[in-house]
Amino acid sequence: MSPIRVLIADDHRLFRQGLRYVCQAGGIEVVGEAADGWEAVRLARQLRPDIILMDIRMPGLDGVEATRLITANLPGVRIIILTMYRQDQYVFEAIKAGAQGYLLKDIDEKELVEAIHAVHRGDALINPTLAARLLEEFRRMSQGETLEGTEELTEGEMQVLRLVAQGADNRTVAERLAISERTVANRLSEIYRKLHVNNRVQATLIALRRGWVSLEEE
Amino acid sequence: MPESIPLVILDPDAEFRGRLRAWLEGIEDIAVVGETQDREEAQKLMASRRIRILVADLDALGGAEGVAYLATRFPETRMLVLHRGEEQAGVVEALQRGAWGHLAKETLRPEEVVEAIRTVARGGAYLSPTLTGWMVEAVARRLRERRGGRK
Repeated sequence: MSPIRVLIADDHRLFRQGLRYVCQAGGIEVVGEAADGWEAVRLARQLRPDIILMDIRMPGLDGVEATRLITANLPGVRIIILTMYRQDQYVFEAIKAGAQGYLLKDIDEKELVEAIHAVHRGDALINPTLAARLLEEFRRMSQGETLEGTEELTEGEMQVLRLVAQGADNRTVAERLAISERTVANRLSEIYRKLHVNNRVQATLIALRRGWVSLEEE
Repeated sequence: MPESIPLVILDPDAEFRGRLRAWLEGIEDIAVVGETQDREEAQKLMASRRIRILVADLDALGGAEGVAYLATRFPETRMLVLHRGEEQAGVVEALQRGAWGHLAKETLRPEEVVEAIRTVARGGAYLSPTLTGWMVEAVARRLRERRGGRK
C-alpha cells in the first residue's frame, strides 16, 4: 500500500520540521511544506496531497480561509486543523469551512499519526474537549429545532426518507417504491424544505435523531 | 497517584457487568463503586455518594427519557451509554438529552472502555467517528445558515 501523502502548512519552520519528523517516523510521506495560507492553496493544487495538516494563524491567508478554498476546489483533499486555539469560534469556523479534523498542538506523536490514518479512512476526528463543545452546540441547536418546529412529512415522503437514510440513491428508491425518479426527486425536495436541510446526510441525521429510522432497518 | 474516578455500572446482563468490572478492577484511576441491573438501585448509589461516571445500558436507563431525567437529577454524574450497534438513533437522542459518550457493546474492548471513562471524566465527549461526522455536518449546516443571513 502506498503511504499517505501529507502537506504541512504552518508558519513556524521548526514546528514544520517537527511534524515532518513525526510523520516520517510514522510511515507517512510528507510531500510539501507551506509557510502561509496562499502557499498551502497553491501546493494543494499542485501536489494533490491526501491530507493537509493546517495551522490556523498564518500570515496572508489564514488556515480557515485556506481550508474553505481547498475543500471547495479539491474535494479529494482532507484537512486536519492543528492549532493552539481551543475557542469554539475557531473550531466551528473550521468545521464550517470543511475540515475533517480539529486537533490541538499538544497532541502526542502517536495520536497524531493515528489521527492522520483515521481522517484518511474518511472519519471525522476532533479533540475530545472540543467534541464536548460540539455536542453542547448540537444540543442547543436541537432545542432550537424543537421550538421552531418542522412541518410533518407525508407517508410517501417518509418512505423515501427511510430508504435515503439507508444510503439508497434516487434510482434505487424509485425501484423499491415503484414510483418514478422524478417523484423521488420531488419528494426529496419537499423533505429538505420541511426539515430545513439541503442534502441527504442532513435529512438522514434529523430522521435518526427523531427516531424515524434506524440504520439497520430492512 | 491520580485521583480515582468513582463509577457505577448499570446493565441487565450480570455476566456483562462482571466482565466490565473485571476489566476495570486493575485500573488504578478508576473505582467501581457498584453494579446493578436496576435503575432505582443505581440512583440510590448516586444519591448516597458522589459518582462521576455512570456506565449504563441504554434500555436499562429507560432510553433517552431516562438519560434526560438522570442528567437533571444528578448533574455531577456523567453518563456513558452502552448500546447495541444498530441503536444509532437512540444513541443520538441520548447524547442530545445529556449523555457524554457511547460505546457499542458488540465491539467493546477493555482499552476503549478505559479511554472513554477517562475522556468523559475529564470533561470531554467520547463519540464514534461516524457520530462525530454527523454532528460536524449538522453543526456546520446550522452555522452556515446563521452566518449566511438566511433566517
